[in-house]
Amino acid sequence: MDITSVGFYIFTGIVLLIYWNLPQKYQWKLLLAAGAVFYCLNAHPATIVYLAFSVVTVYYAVCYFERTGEQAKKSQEAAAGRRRVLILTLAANAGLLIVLKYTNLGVHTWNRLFSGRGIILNEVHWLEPLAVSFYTLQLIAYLLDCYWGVAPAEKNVFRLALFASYFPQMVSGPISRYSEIGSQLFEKHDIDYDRVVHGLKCIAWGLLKKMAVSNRVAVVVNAMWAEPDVYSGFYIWIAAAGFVIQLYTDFSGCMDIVLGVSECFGIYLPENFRAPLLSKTIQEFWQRWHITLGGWLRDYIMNPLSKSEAMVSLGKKCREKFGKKKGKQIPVYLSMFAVWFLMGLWHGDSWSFVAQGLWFWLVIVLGQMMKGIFATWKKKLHISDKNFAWQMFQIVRTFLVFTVGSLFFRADSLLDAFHRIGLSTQMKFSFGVFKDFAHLCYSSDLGGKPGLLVAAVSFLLIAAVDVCIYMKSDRVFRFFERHRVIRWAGYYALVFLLILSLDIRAQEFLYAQF
Amino acid sequence: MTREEIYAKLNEVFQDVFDDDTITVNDATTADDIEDWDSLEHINLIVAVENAFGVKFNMGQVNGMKNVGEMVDIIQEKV
Repeated sequence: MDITSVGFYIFTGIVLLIYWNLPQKYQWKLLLAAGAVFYCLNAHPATIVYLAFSVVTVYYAVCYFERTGEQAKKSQEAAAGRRRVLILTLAANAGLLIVLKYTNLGVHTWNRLFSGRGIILNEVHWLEPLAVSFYTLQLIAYLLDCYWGVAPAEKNVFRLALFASYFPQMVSGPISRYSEIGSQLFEKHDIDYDRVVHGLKCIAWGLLKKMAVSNRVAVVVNAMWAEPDVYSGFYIWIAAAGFVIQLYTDFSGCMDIVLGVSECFGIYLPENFRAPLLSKTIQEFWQRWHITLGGWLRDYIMNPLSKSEAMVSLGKKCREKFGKKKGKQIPVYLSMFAVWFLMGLWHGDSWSFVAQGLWFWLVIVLGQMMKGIFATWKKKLHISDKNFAWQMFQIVRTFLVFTVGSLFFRADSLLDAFHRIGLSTQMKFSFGVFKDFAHLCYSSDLGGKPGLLVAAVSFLLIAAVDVCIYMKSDRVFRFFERHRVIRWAGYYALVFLLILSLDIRAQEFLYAQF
Repeated sequence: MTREEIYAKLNEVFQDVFDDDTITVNDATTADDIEDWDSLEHINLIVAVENAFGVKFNMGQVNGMKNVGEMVDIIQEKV
């Protein structure tokens, strides 16, 4: 049940109508039941066992942490017991995720490396789980927060189950923390006109991104991607850049819908995007793109790893050997390597995803290492950070760096990615190919020339709003709030653009496959 | 240790970690106020503070500190 499908909105509408009419003590139970129904409608019902396993193991672990918290401060034995329970629960949950998602990556890698020795492994086909990458991360975060004593243990296993299976965010995130949504899930939520209206606006905005832009760009990108030998040279990068636009409008549109639906229930989820395509550096980009995943990796992988005894002692040795400035960076780069490796791997069971992550790691590390040189150049060239042309250059540079990473994301395999990069270096221009490309953009799959216009206008609107978000300027939004006629003209325009996009072939949400 | 004494020592740690003698911190100082204080430098700072005060922060505290004031509260509890 795709979140742009009519079925999803009928389902949500029915749940909302019942929800608003229930007393508080039943509201969260309804959400839990809705989560179970939603799960069974989208995946094989038996795979709910995976979810139940994760919830129950984490539930028992956090209850144990709660019981032994005071003891552990006084007794080393109790502290060691807690550590054992933590490691076991982490291993069980991360292990389940690895087995379900990455077994075949191991099989393929083994067969590629050792096929000559006669040991060929067969692919394993598990019943496909739903949203395992999202709820596992949420539950691991909660497990660690309870272990560190910054979150209270949930005493009711069904309430914890709701945290893991809240249906609006189940399939595509955001990856919420218990501290962010835990209490909201169980509070009383009456129907609130302003909240529902704002939620509906978010949904419409998300649909515009997905239907008017992403679905159309996908038609062009898919056609170009299918024929790399025709659309070679510069067109490889046109397709990759198009894919960035497709991915952004797809995933951020999906998040707008998810946040809007959740707002109708009175539950505010954390934002996942903050105008990332206007970032000036790749670090900034990742603070604005898939924010909740980045935050998860920082708090639960990067920080614990960087602060581990091994890394601290390595840092000390490196400082002695390479000096204070360079020495302290080495453990940071190593921890970042682990983070970006996992960031890549989280996205899928292919080494091309890992290559994507490591590409960003490389760019960030090189940027850090050359920080001093860049600063000197900038000084010599009298470039100010406030210079508009320089800022534009930075934005384009970041976009291009992300485009290279996205080529790995979109590629079928690591070899495919390198093949396309090889093709992209061909310097040839054929007028025939240009004509084919132009035809593609005007094709009936996009709605012809009017369709292209709808996509362009929608994209410009999205870009304009992103500029306002980036500049933290709410003057434009206030202007719309003040002027009723203009506001309503905007709503009609939005609906009009959506109606003109209804006949475009729906594409599956790219992040729904995780 | 009084709060003032903690701040005197903490200023030295910040100046040393970020290589900037002009840095002075207060309760409201956050990562946004110090140019080089990003997620990459955060743990270096935390480890330097731990060494200077002989304390250990747990990861929940490391991830949850919103400003220097909260850091000082934890140090005050532990020393």
